[in-house]
Amino acid sequence: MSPRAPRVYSTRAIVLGQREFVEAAKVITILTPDVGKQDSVAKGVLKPKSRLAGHLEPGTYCDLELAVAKNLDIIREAQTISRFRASQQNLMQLTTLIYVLELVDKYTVDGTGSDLFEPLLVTLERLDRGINLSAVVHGFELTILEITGFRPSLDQCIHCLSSVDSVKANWSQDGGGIVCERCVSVIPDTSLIEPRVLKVLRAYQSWPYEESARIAIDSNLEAQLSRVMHGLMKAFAERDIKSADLLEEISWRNELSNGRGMS
Amino acid sequence: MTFGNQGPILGNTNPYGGSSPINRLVSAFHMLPGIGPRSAQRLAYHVLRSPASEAQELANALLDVKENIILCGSCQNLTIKSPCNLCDDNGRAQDLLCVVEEPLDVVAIERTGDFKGNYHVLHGVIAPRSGVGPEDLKIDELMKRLRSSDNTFKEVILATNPSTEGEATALYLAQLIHSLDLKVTRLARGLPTGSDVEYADIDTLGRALEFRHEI
Repeated sequence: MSPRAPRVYSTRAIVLGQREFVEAAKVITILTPDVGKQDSVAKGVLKPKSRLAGHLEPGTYCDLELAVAKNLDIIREAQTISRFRASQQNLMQLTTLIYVLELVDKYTVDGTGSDLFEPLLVTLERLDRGINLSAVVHGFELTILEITGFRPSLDQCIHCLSSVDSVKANWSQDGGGIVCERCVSVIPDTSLIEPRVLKVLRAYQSWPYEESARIAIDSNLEAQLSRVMHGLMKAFAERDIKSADLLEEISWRNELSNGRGMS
Repeated sequence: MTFGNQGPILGNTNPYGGSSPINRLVSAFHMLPGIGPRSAQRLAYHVLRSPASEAQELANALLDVKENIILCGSCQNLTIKSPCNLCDDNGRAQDLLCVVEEPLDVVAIERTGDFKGNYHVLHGVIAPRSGVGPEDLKIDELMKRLRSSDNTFKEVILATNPSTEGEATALYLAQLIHSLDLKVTRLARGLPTGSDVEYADIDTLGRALEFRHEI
């Protein structure tokens, strides 16, 4: 009796990361529209003549053909759809790309996150254009939080649910939202949040991208937005997000050398 | 030691007991990068069948490398003395510095015979997903070297891998080094010898076209 042929399937995928495996193989972490995050094996990718290696770099949007295996499915063929080349040539864009991939990786477990596929793809395409990075990245952070059930409360007090004016708002990172003046005493570790930071975050959360991308963001405002959002993303992920620190360092360095930041 | 008639090594998950010397040796080989369980078993089997003197030589070499290998104070490469032979060689171009990820990259570039400058080994790349940031690499040592008053380098070649993380590291270093008013270059990218244009990824093919040269 001939052995049963392995079951093979095709899918679109975004490569989130990779790690070395046995021999010349690597474990490739991908996000697909049907399954979400999954690990799969790419054999021989450490060999110079590998036909797979160039298609499986983190941040690549590709077509894959996989064979079902007992543990991890095996990548048989890979074809790049987009490598987002402009993002690969600019430090801020590339670090932001690495950051959004790390966010997806940290906010999903195997077999979840399929509804993050399209938002991630759109974000990588917008990032590749290299404009309105603030709206692109913070909009994506808020989308991840929304989809994974951690939508921050930016309009109502997290304790009494009353509407809060932006000029009187306090911020609770661990509580995931704003706190009104009356409730500050009962919520630990709150801090004041700049009214314009809150206004921009509200816009990023509720406006369509095309509109929120028109908001003018200076480097000082962007630094504050990043601080608030990075703190929130780390708090909800309950672990460090290393690329967030790198992003802040690069923004700070850009600010020093050029006198300009994200816009 | 009798070994041959105890049954097949491959296939049985643990025929010798959890803490047997064979199992420990297999586990030790399995810890090495690129060595899977079957390769680990094959290597362990080879050691078992080898003369005791060969096994002793292997053990001595392993201990020797841990006890006597240090990092060169200048290029951060692995060496038995600091400065290493490459840094000590006055015949090498003193105005050219090649920055690589790992010590093995120095070996690969030296094998070409085409590079006669100096090296700096980063010992990794910026890889946030694996928890590696710029502070974990030998970047401070590189910048100290370039800022030092006796610096003679005029060009820094960034030879990190053409991967996402390698590119991020190269762009990060380029930004730092540009502020010192030095020429910064990156290794060219293109198709490897013997490869197939049909199977090349669009990024490699695109760059190969972009940096094509006249013949």
